[in-house]
Amino acid sequence: MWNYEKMLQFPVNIKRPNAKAAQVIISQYGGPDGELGASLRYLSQKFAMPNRRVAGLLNDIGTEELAHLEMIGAIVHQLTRNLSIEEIKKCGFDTYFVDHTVGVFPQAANGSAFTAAYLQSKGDPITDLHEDMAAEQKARTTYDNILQLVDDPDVIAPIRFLREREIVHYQRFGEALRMVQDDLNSRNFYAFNPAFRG
Amino acid sequence: MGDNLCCLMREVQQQAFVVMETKLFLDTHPDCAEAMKVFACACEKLEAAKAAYNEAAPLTPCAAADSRNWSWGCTPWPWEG
Repeated sequence: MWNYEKMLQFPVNIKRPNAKAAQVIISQYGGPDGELGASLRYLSQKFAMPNRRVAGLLNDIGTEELAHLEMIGAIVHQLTRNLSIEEIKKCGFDTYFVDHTVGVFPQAANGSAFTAAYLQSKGDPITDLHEDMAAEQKARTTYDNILQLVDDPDVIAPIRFLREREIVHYQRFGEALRMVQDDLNSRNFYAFNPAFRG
Repeated sequence: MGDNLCCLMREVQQQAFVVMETKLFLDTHPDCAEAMKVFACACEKLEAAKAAYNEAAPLTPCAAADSRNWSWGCTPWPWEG
């Protein structure tokens, strides 16, 4: 189970609101390669993971992704705080505002609401870990793209931190895949699902 | 999970539930002195229950710090049943 600690994993203190930046960064809250999808993916996959150490890694990374979700929420919140109606209209934030005011809603930058279709829990440890490695790379690319779109150092610092975490997670998942492959029966040459025998 | 570990876990679960329940009550009744007392007492009991459990198996990663090998990933996960 989980307990909340009254802290962010990395500080977020944004002084200048910027609705345009919020509109793209929100994709890492509820978009196709965002932190909510990441967390749900790993925390769902852990149940079918036969290697106990790798199951623990999925649990630990899934937990860290929840801390990242909170950081992105804090960034979006601080970027949209104290906006005037004029600024909201000028930045094109009115289409978000009409549905959510300045609440934080899990959606992609293009406005599509979060969906579990962004993730898979296949019940095959090798398949799942390949998805996880791809997911970390996709999230890293998204952070790269965000860094090309924002210029406020208060926003850049936490986004850079999150980008670096994607790289570390990718590395750990690569090692986890090697551990699961080492567990395979030597007669399972084609690496059929080692977690299910029908 | 062995009988002893099961027993220690039950104590952690019971005390954690009192803490959780009292916390929610205090969120909407912050001035209730009686609830504050129950909460403080439960927090103390929870810490003691966790310490007793941690002697046998780590409840958190930090509780795995005093063993020579990384025991966090090799003791059973709660979802294994």
